[in-house]
Amino acid sequence: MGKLRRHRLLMLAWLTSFLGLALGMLLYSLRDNLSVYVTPSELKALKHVPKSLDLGGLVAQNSFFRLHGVQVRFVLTDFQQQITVFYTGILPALFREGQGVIVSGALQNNGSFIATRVLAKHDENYRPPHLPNTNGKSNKESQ
Amino acid sequence: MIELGHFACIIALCLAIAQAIAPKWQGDVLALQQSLLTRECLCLLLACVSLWWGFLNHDFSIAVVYAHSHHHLSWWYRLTALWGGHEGSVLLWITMLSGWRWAFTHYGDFDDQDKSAMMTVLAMIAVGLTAFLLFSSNPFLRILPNAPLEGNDLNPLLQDPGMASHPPILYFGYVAFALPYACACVMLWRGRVIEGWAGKLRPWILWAWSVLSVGIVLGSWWAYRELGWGGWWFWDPVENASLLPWFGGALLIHGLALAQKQQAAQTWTLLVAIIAFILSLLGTFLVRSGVLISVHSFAADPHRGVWILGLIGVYGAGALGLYSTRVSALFASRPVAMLSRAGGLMLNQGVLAVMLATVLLGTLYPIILEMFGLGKVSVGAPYFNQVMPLLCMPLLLGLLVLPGLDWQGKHWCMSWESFINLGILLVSMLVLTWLLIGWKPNHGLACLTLFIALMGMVVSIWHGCVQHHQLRKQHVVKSWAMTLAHVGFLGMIASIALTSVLSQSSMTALRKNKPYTLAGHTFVYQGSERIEGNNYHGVRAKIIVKNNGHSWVQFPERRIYLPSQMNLAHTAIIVRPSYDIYLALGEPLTEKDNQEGWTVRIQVKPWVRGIWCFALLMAVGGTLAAWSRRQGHAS
Repeated sequence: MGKLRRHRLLMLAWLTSFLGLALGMLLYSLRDNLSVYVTPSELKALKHVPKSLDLGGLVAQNSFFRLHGVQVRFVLTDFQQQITVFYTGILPALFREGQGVIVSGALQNNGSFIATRVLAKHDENYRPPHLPNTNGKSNKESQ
Repeated sequence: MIELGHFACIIALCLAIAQAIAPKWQGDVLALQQSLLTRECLCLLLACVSLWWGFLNHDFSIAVVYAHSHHHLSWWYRLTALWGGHEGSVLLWITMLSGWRWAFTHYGDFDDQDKSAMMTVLAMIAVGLTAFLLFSSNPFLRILPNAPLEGNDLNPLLQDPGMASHPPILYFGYVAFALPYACACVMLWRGRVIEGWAGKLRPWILWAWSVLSVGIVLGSWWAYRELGWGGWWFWDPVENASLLPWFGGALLIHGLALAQKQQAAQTWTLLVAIIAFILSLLGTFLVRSGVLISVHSFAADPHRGVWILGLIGVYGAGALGLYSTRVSALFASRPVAMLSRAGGLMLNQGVLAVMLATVLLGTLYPIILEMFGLGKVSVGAPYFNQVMPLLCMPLLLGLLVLPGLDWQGKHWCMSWESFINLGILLVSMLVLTWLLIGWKPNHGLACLTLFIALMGMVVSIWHGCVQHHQLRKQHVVKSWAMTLAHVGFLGMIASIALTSVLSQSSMTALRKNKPYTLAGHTFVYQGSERIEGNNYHGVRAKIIVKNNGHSWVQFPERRIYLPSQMNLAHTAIIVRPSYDIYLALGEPLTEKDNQEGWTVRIQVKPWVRGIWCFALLMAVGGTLAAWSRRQGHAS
């Protein structure tokens, strides 16, 4: 019996240290790789702006502009605030003016946003969360 | 016709209820349940056929057909459109569950009494999900009186052979996790162990897990070709949702081996059996309830979410409650030697469980945070990419020493000659790694992973050969099955390491007749032309790719699907023996650039196909293992 108990204790110690290490690693890694999702209005209201964030909104009409090659510029709006976004790369196929998109990147000192990734949703009726629909009703997903 | 299907589905629900309460009846309960189940299967098949009939005949008064079909859609996509939406998917789920149950009652190794008890639990699951289908996501509803004349079309992204076959195959795997769940519930409820339960369950889990692996491969392959990003795994919550039951299955396969051969860790394995099924319910829930803000979520209806959450709550809390109160009396504890095959399997269980927890945490954290109103965040791929490779390492090392271990840890099986062989192996694999990848200081972990995975593959195959000569004939197939699955896993990891380090990608503006070079390949855009498909129109660009005297003409396309006006990039991929060349069109350059051209995503991806090929090999190994176990029982 004593042997069994010692064995169990050893197993338990081994398990807790392993799991503890793993959990610590997980949380540490998670903290570094979280990005906060905001709309342009929420971003303007933020006091402390994180280094990287996800910004969701609609691509404003007549705002898309191809600067040079794969460099583009467009304005992201939630009908209250708007932010100019710069992006270098291939836009998703569903990207167009009036479409809801989420851009990931960082806010610059001059108030513009440099995106490293642009996501357009596969559903053409999609609106990013927290945004009013075109008919003014609040989005279902925001609740 | 559709009303017939609706009616059949209601009868199926009644039949399932009857099976659940059948034990109250005095007499041959199992025979009764079997005959009821056969009828339930037929009813559900009839329900599917009635929906298919609606799809084939363009009956747009049926809401599901209206939402997911169109006159232009070719007949095979009209058939697969059944699971293009939430309602049809649930019907598919239930039909598959009935199929698994039918196979289980007729081919399972359990005694009649145990089988009948498990059938009761399975019938309860069927009752819950059929009720969910009928009350919250009914596919048999009509739009009347103003029936539409034209449908909304199947989401163009789903009009692809990979995605058309992905859901049924995935669900086929998911659903089978109900079997170990039922077995666990029965044992806990009775407070008595079913003799040899682990061995009897193993073939079923091997089947389920293998099929699930194929389903995940198909999904990954589809994402690679259709999404136009050139990635094969995005750690998107929907992808993770399928990975969670996969980890559950892998845990269960190894845990059951431990329980079967050593009567060890049975308490743990029983817990895994319950959790694996909850995870597959969760997988269904995550994808189809719209709880995720994800590129994959096609359905969005909170009402359904509440239903599925309720189902998960009932089945999960019920089983876990039973577990917490009764499991301690069920099994006697058995110590395991750490340096033995059993100890190795313990390590495997620990690591796989932590991997599962990692994916679960990353997937659910944003949802939980949002649920409690703590803000909206997303967990990026870097989190998974940081943690998972590290966690993989002990698994690889474990596979490396596996041949040296026997079950009891009585002796270390390696002799001096094998150490010399090991030395030769070490050096030759070091050279191979060097040839394949070189030394990339920034990717030290990937290089190390590749090295260990390659060593593991050779060791596994060598071990398989040794076993081939030593074991009796009936065990040889099992041994090779395990070897194949392990080589598949190691090869997959090696391919992942290779492709993630060696891939080169570029997003650039290709102007007419101006060559662009990436990774030794020259790309020349030569103009574009309009194309017309049966349900889309668009543009295709002609791009010449040249490399060392080889030359290919490629036509990546931009398509606009007519009914939905959805805009998609159709990629062009050149498949070479060791690498892929991947082309996806962006947008046409505007007049300001003064020259005709396109923005293009170009990628050269070495060994990317290895990931899927080796994953399929892993599935083949699993299937072979399941098959050999059935053969073993039959003889």
